[in-house]
Amino acid sequence: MRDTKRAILFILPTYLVITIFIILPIFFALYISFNKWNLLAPMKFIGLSNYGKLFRSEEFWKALINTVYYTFITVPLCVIFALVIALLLNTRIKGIAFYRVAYFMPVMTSFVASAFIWQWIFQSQNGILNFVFGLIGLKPLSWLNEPKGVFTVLFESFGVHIPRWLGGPSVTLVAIGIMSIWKNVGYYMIIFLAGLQNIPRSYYEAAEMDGAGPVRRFFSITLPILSPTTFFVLIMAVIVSFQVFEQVAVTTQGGPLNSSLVLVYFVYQKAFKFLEVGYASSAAYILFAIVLFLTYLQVKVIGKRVHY
Amino acid sequence: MRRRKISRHIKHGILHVLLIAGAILMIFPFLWGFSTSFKEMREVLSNPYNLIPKRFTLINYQNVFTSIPIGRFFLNSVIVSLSITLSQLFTCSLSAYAFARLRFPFRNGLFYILLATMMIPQHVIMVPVYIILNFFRLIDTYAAMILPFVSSAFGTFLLRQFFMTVPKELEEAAFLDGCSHLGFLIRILIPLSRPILATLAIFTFMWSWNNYLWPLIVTNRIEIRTLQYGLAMFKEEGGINWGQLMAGTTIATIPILIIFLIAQKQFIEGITLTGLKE
Repeated sequence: MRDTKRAILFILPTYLVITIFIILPIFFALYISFNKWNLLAPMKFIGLSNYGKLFRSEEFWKALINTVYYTFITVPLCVIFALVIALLLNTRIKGIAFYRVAYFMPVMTSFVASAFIWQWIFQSQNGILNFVFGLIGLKPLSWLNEPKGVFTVLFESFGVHIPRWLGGPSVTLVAIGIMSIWKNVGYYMIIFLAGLQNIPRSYYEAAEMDGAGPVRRFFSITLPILSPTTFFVLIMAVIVSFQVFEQVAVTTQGGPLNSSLVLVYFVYQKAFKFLEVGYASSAAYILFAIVLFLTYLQVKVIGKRVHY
Repeated sequence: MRRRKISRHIKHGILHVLLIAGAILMIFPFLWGFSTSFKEMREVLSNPYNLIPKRFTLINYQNVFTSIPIGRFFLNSVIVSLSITLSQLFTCSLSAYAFARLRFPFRNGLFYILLATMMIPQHVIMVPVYIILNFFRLIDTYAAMILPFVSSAFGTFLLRQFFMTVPKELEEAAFLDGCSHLGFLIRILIPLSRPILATLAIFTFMWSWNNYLWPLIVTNRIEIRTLQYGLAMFKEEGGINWGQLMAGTTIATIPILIIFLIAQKQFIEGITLTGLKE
């Protein structure tokens, strides 16, 4: 029991920070979301009105749909690339240190720096992507300033017009997605690599002796044992992509015509540009509910140990 | 036997080709940005695709230094990132020690609450945290950028896991020699935990160096802008001059790149630990 006083002293700084800047705010945000407030005039309790307004707002739906689109663009590709690179690197090949650095470099570059570099690549004139497009005979795109859906643009190039709702995510959102895949793939690769290195070599040797080829070995050993890691990475990537903000804030600010507006940017805009703090908080809480649900899934399924 | 060796060579050859192609895709944007920063404005426009500048110039770097207070931004980034990193090392060591080594009521409950807070995304609570900082009149100060991050659940968790692995006998021997808890932590546990502390330090530093969201929300004055925010504003206010922008980007990226190349191992370890937390 002598320890109690000392323990309180030791955990005090951490608990102060956590309480003031995380625990209190998460409840405070919920409370604010039931109020009309512009930070200056007194708060006014309005119950669930903010949520009602949210679900009637075309802009909010646009932000939500764009965020889901963005998730579908980035997560599958990012996870597959990360897995493939990790598998290639896990073959006792020479120069692994070099490759690891190369694939990891974008991860530790800031969002601002990588957004600048990619804006330079995505430029409509002088951008290298359009230059490559020109070489293979494709029409240049204004990557970061094209509100039309990718499918619309694709079919238009064959002279076919498709209805707007079939247009898919805007070209701009896809461009931001490409940038994000480049930035994040190294991170998930490292996690996969760690997972792969945990698989005992003897499993493969035994399988090889039984005459299993590389494809068979991959599907019968690697994939099942790696499944908790894969699932973990998958959910984490979804959680991360639901919080996309910096890429959008630095490059397009949600434009053109809200075609790259995402949830967190919606919250930021409402709170800090229009001072609709209550309204912004209700949108933030919807995001929180989504993230919480995904985390719950992650904990639950990982707890059950996917590969047994 | 020989045939097998040859087929392995071919296999590795194909692997290398694939990996190098991928690596080029990853590194190329950096190289291109880097080379652009050494081109004259005329060449940037007339000959943007050359990787090696025809005429090498440092004018963009000069211009960045004269048109924005980038030295000040750099200093601000160092101040904020170092403050956050050093204070996290201190506060997280203490709390991790308490959770790993001390007995006190509600220990597990308090630890689970701490873990649960790791699931709350920064983006969800940015509005109330802004309001709290505003309430204390801290908006537009260094404190606003530093205080919310002087400790973290992640750091506590990371260090606690490591402290748990240190054998109990070591502690008992130290106490027999008349060592206090604090003395044991400082003289024995912390020197033993150098690798994990380095991991935490590097991760925290990288995170705060690259942080854009927080300075964006809580600062307005140009004098206390950090590099990331300063650069982003530079682009918005000054129109786009690609050479200068790439020079600024290079200046903002180099420190992290150097730290990463020196401490690669800690980086990789840190990710592995965050990724595979049980």
